[in-house]
Amino acid sequence: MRFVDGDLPPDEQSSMAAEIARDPDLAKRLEAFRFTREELVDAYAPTLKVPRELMERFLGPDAASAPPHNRAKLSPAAISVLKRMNLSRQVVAMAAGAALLLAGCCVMACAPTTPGSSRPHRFSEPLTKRRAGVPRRSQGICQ
Amino acid sequence: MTDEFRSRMVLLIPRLRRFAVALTGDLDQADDLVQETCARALSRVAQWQEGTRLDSWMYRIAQNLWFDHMRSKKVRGEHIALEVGEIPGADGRVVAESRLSLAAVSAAMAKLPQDQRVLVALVCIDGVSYREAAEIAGVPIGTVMSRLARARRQLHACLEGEPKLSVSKSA
Repeated sequence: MRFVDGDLPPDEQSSMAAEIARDPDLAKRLEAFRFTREELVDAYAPTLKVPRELMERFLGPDAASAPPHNRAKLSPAAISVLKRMNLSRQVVAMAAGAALLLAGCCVMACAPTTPGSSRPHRFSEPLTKRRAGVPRRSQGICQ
Repeated sequence: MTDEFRSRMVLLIPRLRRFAVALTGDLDQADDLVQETCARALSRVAQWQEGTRLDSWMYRIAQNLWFDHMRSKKVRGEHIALEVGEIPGADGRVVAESRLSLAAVSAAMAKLPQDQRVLVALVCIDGVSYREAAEIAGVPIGTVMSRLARARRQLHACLEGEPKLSVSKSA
């Protein structure tokens, strides 16, 4: 296999070539390797021709910040604000996460924890009862 | 740095696209993968070390993105074979040569495990050396060779006798 892939040192490569020329069985054993070398390259050759519009899509001016195809898209205004602030999405996400964590800690600190407290526990009611009458939230932020 | 990096990336894109098609087996997914790989590379250009191979670095990015995608979708084994869709060339002409063969090859590739498919794409299709393939895939050279041998035998068994279309047409 290394011979077919040209991965042998030159001297071994040439001696191997001579050996294969002498031995038809050996040549036959290499057929699978040759096949997958030559046929696959030919088969995938058309994919090397990249149309211009695809090239522009891959390397457009905003390629670095453009959201890939299937992700939620930021509004142009949000993108311009982020650009102005020179902040990446990851930084904004981290800041938002930290703020949420802080808010959660504050809520936990203020919530009563002793047994027999006059306030019922937030999740003591059955889920179905709590949800009754509560308008359904949207399915997802990405939609 | 970025302009030079970008121009080097332009030269690499055709090979990257071929690698992505071999990995995904689907042109649309491959183009999405290339786009995401370029975006990731441009956003992390500082991580690339001057003097190292850009193609290996970008192949690794593409491979990791694809593996992450596959993990998240849990679509192992699922494959969308290349349909009769035409592949437009850079000049806008439709290239039909080897198209049937590409569909057959993609179907055969889809039967391979992901780790073998990556190695076939790197070594057999792109001509990357075993050592580079081992670095990109993050496995020893011996593993590269054993996986490649298995994959090639399986591909050969699947594809032997497949008819080839050798007619080209332009639109």
